[in-house]
Amino acid sequence: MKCRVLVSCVAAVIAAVVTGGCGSESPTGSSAAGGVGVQGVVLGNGASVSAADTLAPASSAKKVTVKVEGTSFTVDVSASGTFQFTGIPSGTFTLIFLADGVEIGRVVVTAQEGSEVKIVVQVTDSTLVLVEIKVENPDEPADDDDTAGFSCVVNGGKAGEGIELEGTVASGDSSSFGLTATGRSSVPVQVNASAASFKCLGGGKPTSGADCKASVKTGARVHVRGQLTSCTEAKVTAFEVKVQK
Amino acid sequence: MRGGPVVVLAATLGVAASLAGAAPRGAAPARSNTPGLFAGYSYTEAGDASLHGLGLSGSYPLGAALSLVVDVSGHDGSFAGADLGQLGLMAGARWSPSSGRLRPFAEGLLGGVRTSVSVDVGGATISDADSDWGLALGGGLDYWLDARWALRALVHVRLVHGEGAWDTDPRLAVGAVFRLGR
Repeated sequence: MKCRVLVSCVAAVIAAVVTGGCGSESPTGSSAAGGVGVQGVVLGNGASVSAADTLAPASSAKKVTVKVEGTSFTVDVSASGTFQFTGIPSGTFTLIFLADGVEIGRVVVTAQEGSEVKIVVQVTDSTLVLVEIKVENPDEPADDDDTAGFSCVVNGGKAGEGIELEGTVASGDSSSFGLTATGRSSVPVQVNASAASFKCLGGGKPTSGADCKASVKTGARVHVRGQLTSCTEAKVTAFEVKVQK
Repeated sequence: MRGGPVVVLAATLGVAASLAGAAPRGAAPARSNTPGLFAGYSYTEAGDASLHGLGLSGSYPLGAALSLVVDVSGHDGSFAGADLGQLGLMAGARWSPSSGRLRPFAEGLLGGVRTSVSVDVGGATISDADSDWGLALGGGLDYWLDARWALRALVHVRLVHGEGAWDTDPRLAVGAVFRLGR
């Protein structure tokens, strides 16, 4: 009799696993089929850079949450540092990272329908560091050498296609400037904005396009929408520049 | 990914149950509870990552149906371009009331897991590791082939706490049991 009870218990455990009773917390939000999938890993505060297997002390125990801006997609990072989204609408979207509910950083991603985004970030005390991002397009199957499909110096970019970047003007002026693109490129992106329209965001009072254009100088925070003309040299021709006042 | 190992495990349990049913009565080794060692393939999930590896455990009898269990497991895999590894060490108690050829058991273990993550970027390796505590609840079936050897399939639900979050991860294992002692 005891044996039958135990077999039933074992069967119940198996059933719980089969029906998905286990596993990490599922992301909330739309679960529409298709779209873009995002797989991510969050490294802790104690992550170390090394050539050997030096392991750092335990990282901070802040609860990290990831949201997709403007949607109901949100997920808590698991105890092992992983998170996953499925069915994010294709195009450009922004991942917002929060530690204990406080925003610590954003990563802007551009991905086409069916793409798989793989992202590794590090969470320090109050900042986010983008370690690696790969966008695997469905028409460019992933290769083991990690070079196919995502060899562009601008993460998530593809030469000849549209791109949106956020960052800080590092040099130049409104017609041509170097952009430090937050989380997208390790080198400044050269932006040709000679034919772009300019808009100002925030600041309270309306600002003319000319005034916005004049405010594009070193240190200005901008959002650039345009076309990536070169992957190897990180060059973008801008259609629109939004200046954060 | 989650369904595959579960199906294999369920099939193994089914085959074991069938064999037990087909075996002639009285053929099962009627042995008292003795120390045993288990080794086999093990699958688990660490958050969203699927990991594969090896499971080892040892048991020591505390009574007719109760045993002390020490479980060590090592798993690895990759997720989002990063390599993940997880080492688990847990101990607890197992209850196995049956002494027939087919012996179900239930167990509860407490211990810790160490999860390491590394990613290669531009020739450098960025690595991170955390030790978290957790517990495992589950059970399984042993099918005794003879007085010494048995096949085992087990399922655990592992609750691991770390980084301000609780993970509820499945762990499945199949392998062989070797009975020590007389």
